[in-house]
Amino acid sequence: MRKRYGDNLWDLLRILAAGAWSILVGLYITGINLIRPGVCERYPRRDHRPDYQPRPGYRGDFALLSDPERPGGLRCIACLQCQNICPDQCIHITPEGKGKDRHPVQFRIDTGLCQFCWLCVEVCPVAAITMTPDYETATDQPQKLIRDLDTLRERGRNIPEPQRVEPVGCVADGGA
Amino acid sequence: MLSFIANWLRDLLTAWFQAWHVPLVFVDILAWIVGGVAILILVMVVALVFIYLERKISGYIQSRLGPERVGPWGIFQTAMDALKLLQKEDIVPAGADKILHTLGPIAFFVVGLLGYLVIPWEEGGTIARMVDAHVGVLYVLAFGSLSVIGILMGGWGSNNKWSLLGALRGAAQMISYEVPMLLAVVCVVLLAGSLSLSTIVDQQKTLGLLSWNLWRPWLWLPVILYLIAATAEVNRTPFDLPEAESELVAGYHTEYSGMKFAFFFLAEYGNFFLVGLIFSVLFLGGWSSPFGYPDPLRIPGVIWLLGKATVTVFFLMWVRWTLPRLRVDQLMSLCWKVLLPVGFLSLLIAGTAALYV
Ligand code: SF4
Ligand code: SF4
Repeated sequence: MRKRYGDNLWDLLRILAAGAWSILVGLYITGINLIRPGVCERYPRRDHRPDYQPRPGYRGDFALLSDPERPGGLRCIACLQCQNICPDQCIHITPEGKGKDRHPVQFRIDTGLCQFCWLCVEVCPVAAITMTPDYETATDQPQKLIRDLDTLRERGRNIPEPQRVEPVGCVADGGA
Repeated sequence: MLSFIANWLRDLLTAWFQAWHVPLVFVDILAWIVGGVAILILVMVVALVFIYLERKISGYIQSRLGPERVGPWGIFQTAMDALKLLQKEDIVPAGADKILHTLGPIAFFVVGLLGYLVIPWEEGGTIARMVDAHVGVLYVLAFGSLSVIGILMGGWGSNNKWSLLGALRGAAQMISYEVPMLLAVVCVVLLAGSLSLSTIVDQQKTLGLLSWNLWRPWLWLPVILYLIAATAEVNRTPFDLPEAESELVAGYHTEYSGMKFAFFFLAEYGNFFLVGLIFSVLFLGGWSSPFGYPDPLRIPGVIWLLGKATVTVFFLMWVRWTLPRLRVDQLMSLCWKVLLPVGFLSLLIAGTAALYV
């Protein structure tokens, strides 16, 4: 017959002691968590931390960085690499011009489809596209989720350099 | 304080009734009604407060925040939930036994309330004095185990396999764990020499904190036994098999909605608080102040009792959010193979202590 736990008294006592000890350890752990200050933000309420900013590397809404010396006023050279790499095919670019003058005349990102994977930002050869820490993009109309060239340019106007911080947990740096 | 108010009301009523030539028996009837309503309100408030506390505590233990939005720190959340349940449609499943389905939550709730009658809120302050003076402990345990009838009614009347399975599990579990719980309580009764809850408190009041039953080494086994068995008795994790979400949807109250569900839910917390109350009466000195008798701080006994019960309840909530649920076979083997022998052992120890200490 298969031997089972608790078949003799000594076994039973040992199991009971081990069980009691593990319960105490568990209570200790949950107790520590109970009194530890929380890490949650009370999101829609601002009264706890009015100066709240997302952590560096937060992937929020998109922006195109500006360069006044280039046609169109954007860094973007309309190489379409971001359009091609996007797994959700949410970037649609209409390029114009040849050689050094090549620039986008239409640049649409459907953030409703986007999974914020950072691939487009990573692939860009001139660091023209980036994500801002802006996280309040919710809306009740799907069309409002589509960013066009003007919006993206407006957003990028005040960004001197793209975010250099690697996103937290990015696959590229070993899932740190 | 409570008995003072009660006596004052009674004197007032007696005077009035004499003036209007009403038979004085109505004073007693009225007093019982007032007491009953007071307990009903107490249980409602306690249940709402503890559901809120439970959600907050579970939130903090799991690094969440718990209810946040309704009122400051979300304190009105459970009140709003109760109001919401009040408005909801009462759905009775097709093929259900309508009468049993309706009676289930009522029986559960009423039986849960009855236990409160014999709790000594302060010196001489129980609602059912006659019962308490003789067999308070027996009464409270008897009605504690009666709540299984409400669960069975609900489970059977719902015409749903999950409800029925949950109810059957509940019945098996509550009847089994009744035994070690009784053994634990009998140890206290042996030492106190009385079945009256008031007497048990009276014997723990003299030195305050020091004379609590909790500090007597020969009662430590019963303390643990009682906590375990009582947790199983009120169907809480790690013994929440009757309503195991992952297996039985919601167990015996799967098919309940609206106010009937609210009754089950409130009564569960009412029973839970009753466990805390009985634990404080048996082991933590009940209404007596921890600083000696009479209370040097002059705080009413009912506050001490509620405070002690709250601490007990908090501990059990802490346990709930720490431990995972047992399997059914583990549940039964824990009861019959471990708790029962330990119960007899503790009875032996307590009996010896009662004779020689
Ligand atoms: S973040 Fe990813 S999904 Fe979003 S636009 Fe860029 S490549 Fe596409
Ligand atoms: S990869 Fe960069 S430069 Fe190329 S089209 Fe996209 S944003 Fe413009």
